[in-house]
Amino acid sequence: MIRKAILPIIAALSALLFACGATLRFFPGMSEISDFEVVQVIGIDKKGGGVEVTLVADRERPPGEEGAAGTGMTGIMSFEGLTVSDAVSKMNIYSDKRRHLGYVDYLLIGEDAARDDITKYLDFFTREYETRYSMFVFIARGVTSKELLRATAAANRRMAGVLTNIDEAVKALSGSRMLRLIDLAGMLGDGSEAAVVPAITYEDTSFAKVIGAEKPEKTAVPDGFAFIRDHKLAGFYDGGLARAYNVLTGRAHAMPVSVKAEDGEYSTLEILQYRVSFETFWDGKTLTGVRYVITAEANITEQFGRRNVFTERGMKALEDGAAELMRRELEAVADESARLGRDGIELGRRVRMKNPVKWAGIADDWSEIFPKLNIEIDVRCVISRSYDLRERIGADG
Amino acid sequence: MPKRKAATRGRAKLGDISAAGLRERMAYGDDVIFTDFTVGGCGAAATAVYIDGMVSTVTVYDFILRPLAAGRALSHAETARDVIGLVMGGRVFHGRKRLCLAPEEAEEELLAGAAVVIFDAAGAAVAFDAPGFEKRGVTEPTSENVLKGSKESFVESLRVNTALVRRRVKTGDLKIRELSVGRRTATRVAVVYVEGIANGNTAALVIKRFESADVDGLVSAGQVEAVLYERRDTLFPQALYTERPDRFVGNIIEGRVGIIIDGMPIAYITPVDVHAFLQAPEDYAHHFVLSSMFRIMRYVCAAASLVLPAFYVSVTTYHQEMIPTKLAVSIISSKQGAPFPTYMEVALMLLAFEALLEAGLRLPRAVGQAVSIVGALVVGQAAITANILSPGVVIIISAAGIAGFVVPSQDMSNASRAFRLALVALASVGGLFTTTLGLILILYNMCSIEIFGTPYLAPFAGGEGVRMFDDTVTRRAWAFKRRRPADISPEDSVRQGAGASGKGGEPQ
Repeated sequence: MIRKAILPIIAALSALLFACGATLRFFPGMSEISDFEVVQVIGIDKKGGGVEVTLVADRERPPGEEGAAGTGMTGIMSFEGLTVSDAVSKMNIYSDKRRHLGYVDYLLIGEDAARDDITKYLDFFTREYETRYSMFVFIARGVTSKELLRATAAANRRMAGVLTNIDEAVKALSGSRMLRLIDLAGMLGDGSEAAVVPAITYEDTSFAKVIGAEKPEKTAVPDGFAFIRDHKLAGFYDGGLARAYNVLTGRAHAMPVSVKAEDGEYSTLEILQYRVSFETFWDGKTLTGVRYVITAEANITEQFGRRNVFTERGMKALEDGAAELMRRELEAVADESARLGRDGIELGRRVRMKNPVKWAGIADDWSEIFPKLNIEIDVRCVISRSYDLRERIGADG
Repeated sequence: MPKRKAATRGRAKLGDISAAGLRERMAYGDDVIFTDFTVGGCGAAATAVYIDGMVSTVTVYDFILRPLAAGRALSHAETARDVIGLVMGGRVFHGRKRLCLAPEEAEEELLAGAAVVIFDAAGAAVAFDAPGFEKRGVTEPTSENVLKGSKESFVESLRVNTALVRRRVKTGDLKIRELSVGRRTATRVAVVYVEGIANGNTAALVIKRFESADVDGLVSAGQVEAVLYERRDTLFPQALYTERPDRFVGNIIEGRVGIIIDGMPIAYITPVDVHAFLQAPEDYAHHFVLSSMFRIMRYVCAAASLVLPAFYVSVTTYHQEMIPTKLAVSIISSKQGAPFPTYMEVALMLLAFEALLEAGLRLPRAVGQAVSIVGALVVGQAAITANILSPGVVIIISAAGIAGFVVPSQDMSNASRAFRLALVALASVGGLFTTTLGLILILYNMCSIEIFGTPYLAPFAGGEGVRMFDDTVTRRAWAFKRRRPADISPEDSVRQGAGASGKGGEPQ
């Protein structure tokens, strides 16, 4: 009997749902995807006493429209408000399309806003479930996020695409990283350490072959890390410091290191993998020092000189040169972090993981301990592959 | 036979059959031929009756009428009763003959294709088997073609079909139980199984079901399925049909029961589970890894065919965040200017797709192809160009349609098409929430089906739960398929020995 009743029940239920679906609150609201506009990048800047939010909406040209179908168009819109949510709430007022934060992948914070208080500009996005886990955060260095976004759009480039490509570039050079909002929120919540946020800026460049006529254009490029202390921008890690930060925190991928060989010509080694061992030294409950031992494996990717460097002495010179260069960079980033007055190399996390019980005794004072801590760094480099399949042309022997 | 003679000798007539009576009963049957003649020697009057076109006239003239009318074999007979006695005793040699005493018996034999000789004086008739109707020769299968395998298919003649089966199963254990079903059509139905392998209860149940079928006739597959199917409240097929004798035999020796119906070039197999409808005959011709790969692809395609349109409606109408950004931008751009909401576009396209399929099936082949081309290419392209439909919808419906064609069973494919439309309707109301609800109901429906005691989703749900990947979503190597499917409860569960591969168990 029940079986016989099921199909009519389903049919009746379907009819009921069809008839009432639009009005029933029980079901989610219906909205056509074509009514939406995809906003992938949001920029936040300080504007007077309030906030300016800049949206970058990407659109594909509809099929049949002049220009190749599938090519992108970028729309830039700015809204001002007393708070971020105040400004964001205006984004749907002046548009034929609905915009929501579901597609926002990237958030740019202008340098001024970061110096003011980065946390207050992030609060809205950390509360929003659609952005909390998926959004990547960057600091716009030396420029407002609006300028950066406008410049990139003016160069006919999709900011989201540029930022995605930065991630790829970072993997080859280890000079930056992608940082999710939720991870940044975790860093900011830990008062004993600095939040280290990837920074981007723009550079003049030219694309004669692409555009057809050479002209200066600006494009976004990674530019080290912003050092956030007490929720405010305190400084930056540049170039070598940036990749040293990635090495010390275990996030570096491949990176080139150029050192002079015995003949005085440069050779480039590519660090492909490395291992970080970490030791702590205690005097009772007092942390007296730490030591990093970094063992790197490298390839020789290029040699300017013609002299045969594949001798025991030549190889050792290259290995020692690379190790020394890395050590200097690593010490420099540790020194810079100490100078800026907060643990910006995630040293506290390492100590906690190594000695969780002892860490509990010093955790509250870590901000004072870190700048004075003796940090010893030892780097060993081993050339594991030479890529020297046969004797080079013109080798001097 | 002596007993019958003794019993009837005391009566004036053996039965109550008369040529006039049969003539009256078959009035306006212009194809029924009545030929009066006198039996040679004794001079008894007789009437030969046969249906033109259903018997071999050569057989009737040369091997029935000639010996009776002109032969000397019956010269000693004095009465019609003596003639019948001699004929039944073998004086007139014939392969199969039967004495009919009641008019209904004579009529039944006549309609089955026999030549009936009526002896009015004895009130009885002798039916001589003389089949000679035109029948189609064994040809290649049309819907189950394979590259590696037999090229024979069933035809409309029951006897040819049973012969095709018998030729492949050379054992006395092969039982072919013939029944007559249908009050008007008296269609011959053969229930085929291998005794000692097939579950006896299942075979008995199948026979009983046909025996007890009080129907006008069995002239269409739907009527057969109405008799055979246990559940009426589901769209899912409950018996596998095939036009391939080798596939039929493969299932019979696995322990299933087959049904061959006179007049149909297909045969049914029962009990089966859902996996049977997603398996193709050629699965058993390939290496088991390849077969498994193709099967998994079929399952994925079947699921995609069922769910893809509803999923598209759901994500584009309710859950836009689920779509990757680049794809979302592309879909948004493709939908610019399209006047209909997505669910309506999808529903319209699905209906158009169904219409094209129907048109392609009903029309002559050449015209059908033209309809497909005009419908799919010209009208489809024009609809996109005119911005009436968005390309995304066309792609989704086409993909779902093509994925549906991958399902080997047309019955399962048809069920999937109906559910697909229902899921789109549900998706348009509440997105993935209602779509999931619909899928749960479909799954519930499938779980509740049992075919002669075999759960539909066995061995994954409701069955023994053993040898789950022997011959379901994947196929094991022949060498390791030593047991028959447990869920159909075969009487002999051991299929083969350890040396099945011929190479000491090496997978094949």
